[in-house]
Amino acid sequence: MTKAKSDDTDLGLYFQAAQHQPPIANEALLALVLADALAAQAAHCFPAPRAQPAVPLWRQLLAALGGWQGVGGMATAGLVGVWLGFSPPAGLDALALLAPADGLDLGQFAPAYGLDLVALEEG
Amino acid sequence: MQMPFDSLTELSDDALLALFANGDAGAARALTLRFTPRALAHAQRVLGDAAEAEDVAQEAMMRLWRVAPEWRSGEAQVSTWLYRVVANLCTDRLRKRRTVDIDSVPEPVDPRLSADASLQQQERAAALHEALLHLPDRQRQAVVLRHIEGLTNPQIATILGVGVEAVESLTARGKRALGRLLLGRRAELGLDDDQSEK
Repeated sequence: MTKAKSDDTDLGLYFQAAQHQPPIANEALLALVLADALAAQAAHCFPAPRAQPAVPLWRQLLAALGGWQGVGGMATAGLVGVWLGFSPPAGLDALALLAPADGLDLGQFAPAYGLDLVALEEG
Repeated sequence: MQMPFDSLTELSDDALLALFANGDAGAARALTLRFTPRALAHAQRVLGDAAEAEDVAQEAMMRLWRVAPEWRSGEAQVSTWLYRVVANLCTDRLRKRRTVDIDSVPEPVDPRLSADASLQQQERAAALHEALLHLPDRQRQAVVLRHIEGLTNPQIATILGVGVEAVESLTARGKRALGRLLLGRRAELGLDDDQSEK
């Protein structure tokens, strides 16, 4: 047997010994790896729900007022009020002249309850 | 669909990985048992340190779990891919070691050997592991993959990211170096007896 062949045979025996005695994965390592696997699997298959983005304040107000329709109605009513204030119709002045100079009394608008009101005031 | 564990062990690596990606816990267990020992064995033989090897094996397996949903069946072998990850993680650790102490060679490994191995076999394996740690990283990886793990040269070329000829050169140089390192231990390890019996 030549020296090279002898060396190869020697090494072959070393390799054979190593093949028959692999490092053994202990239970603790296998448990760690399996735990990682199941966690990764859960993350892939059942991703955590994304957090709902916060609703801005203006959208919350809009919803409380009945949406765009509600806000549109309010804006229209407001504009009409302003317009009436700056440019009242002619008939409105005549109506104002009918009112007494010292103001209006509640009884004038509800004569049927006039006595009751007096009675309440006098005890 | 959950399958009995026994039937999972018969499945190919690709099929198991696909099942894993679909949420099959049995596939997770089967893959763990199939690949963790291989990752650990290679890491321990290359690093010579059981604790570090366990870290590497766990990290390599974690990368396998992460890549599973995007794994394209048939494009690469799972085992080759995993060996490559382990090889790279080992190389990184060996580089870091060199930056700490260029002459540091770990104590001979304490592989958890099977109880039925003969004392002489254990001594030969331990002597080989000790000698392997004196080889340069690439030679060591090539020798371990070729002569202990039993992979082909093209597989090793893929794992190490080199050509087949480079693998042949690495293993040849590695074996020559091992021969020199182990020369003085032939009688101690009973090799003179083995040769005389042939």
